[in-house]
This record gives sequence, structure tokens and C-alpha cells, in this order.
Amino acid sequence: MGFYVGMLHPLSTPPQLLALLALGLMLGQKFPRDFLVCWIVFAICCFAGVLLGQTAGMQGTENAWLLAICVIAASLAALLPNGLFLPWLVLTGGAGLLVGVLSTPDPGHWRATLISLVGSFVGANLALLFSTGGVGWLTERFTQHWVRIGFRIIAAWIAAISFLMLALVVSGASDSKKSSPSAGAQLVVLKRPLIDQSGPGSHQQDAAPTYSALHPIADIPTSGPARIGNVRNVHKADVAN
Amino acid sequence: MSEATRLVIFGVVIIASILAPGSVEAHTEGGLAGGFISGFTHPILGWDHVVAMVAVGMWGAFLGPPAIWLLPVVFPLVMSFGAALGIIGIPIPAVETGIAASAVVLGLLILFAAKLPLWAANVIVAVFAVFHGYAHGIELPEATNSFAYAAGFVIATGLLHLIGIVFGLLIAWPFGAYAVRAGGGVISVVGLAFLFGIV
Repeated sequence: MGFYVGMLHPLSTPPQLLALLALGLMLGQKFPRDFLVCWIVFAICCFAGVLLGQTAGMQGTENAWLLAICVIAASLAALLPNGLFLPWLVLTGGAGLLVGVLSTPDPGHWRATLISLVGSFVGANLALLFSTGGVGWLTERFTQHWVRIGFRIIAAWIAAISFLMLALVVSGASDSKKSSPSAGAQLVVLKRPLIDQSGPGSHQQDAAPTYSALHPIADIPTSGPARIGNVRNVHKADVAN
Repeated sequence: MSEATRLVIFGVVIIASILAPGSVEAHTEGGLAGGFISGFTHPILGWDHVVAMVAVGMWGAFLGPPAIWLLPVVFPLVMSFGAALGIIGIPIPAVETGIAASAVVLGLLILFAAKLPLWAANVIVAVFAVFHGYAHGIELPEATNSFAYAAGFVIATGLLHLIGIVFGLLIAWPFGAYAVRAGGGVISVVGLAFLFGIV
């Protein structure tokens, strides 16, 4: 359970999902050129980020930095599809580090935390492999000009979405200082457990860790009951409320 | 059916299957679906925005490759920058005038079949994109899901460009060129109406 929750975490948090898509579009258009090196750097940095998150904790600005990397990576994919190795390496490493840090679950038993972290690490690396490989395969398989144009337009859209979210996160952070919550603030401060740990038969030692950094379905209120079984139910319950 | 066509259909089905459960789930203005719908409808409910964004696509088609796809790449990138300025609260003067002027200028460029250099076309589109993005940014609803709102907002903008491109592709036929140029004239008139507060 913890492994699965951890594995889904990079795919269900918008900044991480956008980052993995942006990296996939950036690296995939020239796949497999330089991909192996970038992937190894991503994996090493992701591992370092996981360790960093466990030792130093999160500073609260990781999502903003990750969205900034999304904007640059997706813009590069849209405007310079031939790419430049050094920026690719820096962006991939930075994204890996931040994805690793953001995979830090709430404190819990060390075994459940470890399983969840391994899941996040595997999920993030698989997502990068599939997004890059998918773009690379489609580019090679379908040689029509419009396929490459389509990828560049999608990359521009991802850059635009990331930029908007970055602005919301930044403005949300400044709004929260004035105690007026906004969409951006909700993105930053969500603190609701994904998994019910207080129900019958649950044991703190075996329960999967929760994530409070950024909820997958981002606009959930920060107050209210938390006896919810999974992500989808959390969303439904909050909509009903 | 060609493989490329099957690929397009597959892509549409995947996107629809991702979006559909959200729309079934919420039935409310909030949440993922509410945020997406709110963002998606935002650009298409203002005629001044609609005509300008369609005009970008039409002008791109008139200019031909690479402008036909480069303008729709540049526009959302710069528009998000303008939206960010609006969200953060950095003031920009004469936003509504800029939006109306974008429709007038782009419409006239289409009407007179102006073939400017690529860099000039990009600069014109980028300047107007800031105004459009800014207007959307300051009107951003606070209660919506920001990711879904941003996705809907950008996709709707892209689809408006696509509508313009498809219409602009009519220039491949002689009658089509007249139709597209007439469309540019209509866009320009709509822009003038907004500029002088007639509508």
C-alpha cells in the first residue's frame, strides 16, 4: 500500500507531473541522444533529494522552484527542440533533486516511510523513462512534420500552465502572509492526510505515510474531517462539503 | 484509416478519458472539473479575446510555415507571463485598450494580407499576448483548482488559435483567400467596436 501510494505521488501532484512531462518533451524529441546520462543524473539527484528531505526537511519553496524548472524545460522543448546538453543536465538534475525532496512523507514508522520513499523514487524514474521514451518513440515512428510541431505546441502549453501555477504559488505565499487565502495559498499549505490512520484495525506502524506538501487534487480545504480512505474519496467528500 | 489518423483518435480518446471522470465527479463550480471548466470558458466568453486569438491563428496561416505554428507557441508562453503579472498584481496601463487594439491590428494585418518578417510577427503577437494574459490573470477566481484552471485556460486559448488556423487554411483556394481576408475585416470592426465602447 505504501509503495503504491509513494509510486503514484509524483504522478498525482501537479508540479511533479508537469515537471516529468516537461522533461519528457525536452529529452524525448532527440531520444535517445544523451538520455541515459540525463536519466542517471536524475536518479542520483532524486536519491539525494530523498535523503535531503529526510534529513533537512522541506523548506516550503520546493514547489515554486520545481515549477520554475518546468517553465524553463518546457520552453526549451518548445523553442529549442534540438536542445543543449548542459541545460538539459542542470534541469534534469534540479528536477530530480526537488522531486526527491517533495517525496518526503509525513513522519511515521521508519519501515512504512522507507517503502513509500522507494515507491516515489521508482515512480518518478519510471515516469521520466516513459514520458521521454514515449515522446521519442512517437517522434521516430511518425515522421510527419506535424507530430514534432504538436509536441512543441504541447510543450508551450505546459510551460504556460507551469508559469500560471508558479505565479499562483508565489502570490499565494504573499497572500498567506496577509491571511487572505487564495488558490495559490491552498497549493502551498495543504495539510490533510491521504490515508485514514485512525480507523478500526489500523496500526501506526503499518499505515502508509501521508503527504502534506502538496495534495494531488490541489484545492482541498485545510480543515474538516480526515477519516477518508483514499485520494478520490477525499476529493468527493470535500466537494460534498 | 492511416496510422497517423489512428494516433490522433487514440490521443483524443485518452484526453477525453482523463477529463471525463472529473466532470462527472464534481457537479460544482469548485474542484478539479469546476476549475477546468472555469479556466476553459474564461477565454471563450469574452468576444474581444475570442476574435484576437482566432486572428492570431488566421494570420499564422496567412504567413505560412513556420509562423503557422510558431505564433501559437509564442502566444501562450507570453500570455502566461502577462497572466503572472496580473496574478502578482503588477499594474499594466490600458489593458482593455490593448486587447481591443489587438483585434483591430491583427484584423487589419489579415485584411491587407500583410506578410511581415517572422520576428516582427512574433513581437506583435507577444505584445498583445501580455494584455490578454494580464486581463485573465487579474480576473482569476480564488476558489478554483489552480492546476485545472490553468490547464483549461491554456487549452481553450490553443483551441481558439486552432480554429483560426483551420479557417486560415482556406487561403489554399482563391475564394478562401477572400473569405479569410473578409474575416480579418470583421475582426477589425469588432475590435473597433470594443475600442470605442460600442459593445
